[in-house]
Amino acid sequence: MKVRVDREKCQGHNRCYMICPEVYQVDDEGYAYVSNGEVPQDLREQARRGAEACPENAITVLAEAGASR
Amino acid sequence: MVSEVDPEKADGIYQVVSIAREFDLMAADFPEHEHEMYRLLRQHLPISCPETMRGGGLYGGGAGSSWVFARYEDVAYAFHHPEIFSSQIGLPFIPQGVDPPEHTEYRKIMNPWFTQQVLTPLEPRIREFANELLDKMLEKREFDFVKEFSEPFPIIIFCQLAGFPLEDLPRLMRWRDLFVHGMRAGKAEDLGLGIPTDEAGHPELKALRQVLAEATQELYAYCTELIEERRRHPKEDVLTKLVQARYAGTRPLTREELLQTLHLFILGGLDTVTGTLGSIMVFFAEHPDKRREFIELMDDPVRVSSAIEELVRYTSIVSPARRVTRDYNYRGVQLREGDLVVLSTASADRDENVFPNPDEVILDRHPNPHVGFVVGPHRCLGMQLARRELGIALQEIHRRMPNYALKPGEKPGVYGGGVKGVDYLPLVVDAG
Repeated sequence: MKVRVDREKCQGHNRCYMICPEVYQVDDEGYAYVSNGEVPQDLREQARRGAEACPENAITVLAEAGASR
Repeated sequence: MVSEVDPEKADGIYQVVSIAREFDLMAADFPEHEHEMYRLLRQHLPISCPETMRGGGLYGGGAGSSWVFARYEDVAYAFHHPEIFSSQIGLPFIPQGVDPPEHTEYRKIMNPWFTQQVLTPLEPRIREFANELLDKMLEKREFDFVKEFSEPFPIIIFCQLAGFPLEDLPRLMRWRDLFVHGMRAGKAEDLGLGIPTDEAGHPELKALRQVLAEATQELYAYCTELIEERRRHPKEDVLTKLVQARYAGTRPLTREELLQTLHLFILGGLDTVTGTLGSIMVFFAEHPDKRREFIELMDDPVRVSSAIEELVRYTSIVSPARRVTRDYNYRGVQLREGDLVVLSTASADRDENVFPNPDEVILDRHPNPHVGFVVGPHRCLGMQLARRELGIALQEIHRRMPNYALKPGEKPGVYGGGVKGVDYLPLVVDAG
């Protein structure tokens, strides 16, 4: 599973970061980014929840073929 | 066969006709019926054009119609499209009253001042402030929570962070009262403004604008002194950062820009957390079961952060306005250039199409894409600070006083308007 933050859409709510700081980070201006888009197995659920919490719909979750939820 | 008409029986689709005509955010009884009205509007008339708000109503500045957007999808659309729904209304606040691309440059300057990295080290101080206020408040068993806590708490933090001297608090509060609450029924009298009011206590608009213009001059003179002081003696505060900032990396901010920014900081920093925290405490006082749920989870920071989001959704206190920039047909509604649009976050955040059981507080609600802090380019600059203040305050309050109730026979002073809030909340704590 991969996650991607659309930097054009992100407005710095930081909800992804609050739910899953292991995957989502925040830059000096308060906007979110992911340094490594590949999400480890044990963080997938949290990363998905972080993406769903975005009020700007700025985070896309890309499931890989055969990847389990 | 035609069924008998019962003229005494209210019917939503009929009720919405008078709601749409008489909708008045400023009415004293607005908070009592607010959510029922919004529910009917969302269902039957998602975009309405109340007669009471013709000519701009409370937001002023508009000669045309004022519209109220009630559904989440429409409110969010308008927030995301500043080229049609502009923030340039009334007073030229920076950055709120400016649209992109200038707005983007201002936000680039200010965003870094309110990030997680900056705020995390402040947490222990914020917790200390909370406890100092609680020490004093809990010397009594009965108190007005607003006066003792929700009002001073964010202001002390704001003064500290921004660099305003604490001894100037009374002056800052007076300005806040004028700018944020001057329009409310009865306030002109409370504040001793000596201007004419109508029967319901609403101030005469022209006279109020005059008072506000004078207050703005006083505030600007006060801020100018502080700015000059920081130019000579830089400190570690927002005032200093503002003085040293460079627009688009090229030039310092002008005197006007500095003042318009500080003006907005005072309004945002002094009032919104007070309103939200007061509203949350009214809810917890009236719903002890939810309060116990919060106490159960409050040692877990992740669960606290979800709870704060839900409480912000539930209380959503702001209804910002936007100015329509050109004749525009929005989903079949003909909007005219210069019309005002009121974007009710209170209604959007109770939209049953987005939030199942919207009138229920579900502390671990997920997903929760609420617009309580606004979305799009004008989302609240201080939202990370606000969240921390709310989280810390609610933790410390419930650690120190888990059992409390509204004082018997009394009602909280809940008021409506463009920014809602609570100005009186009499609580009794359990000695046990």
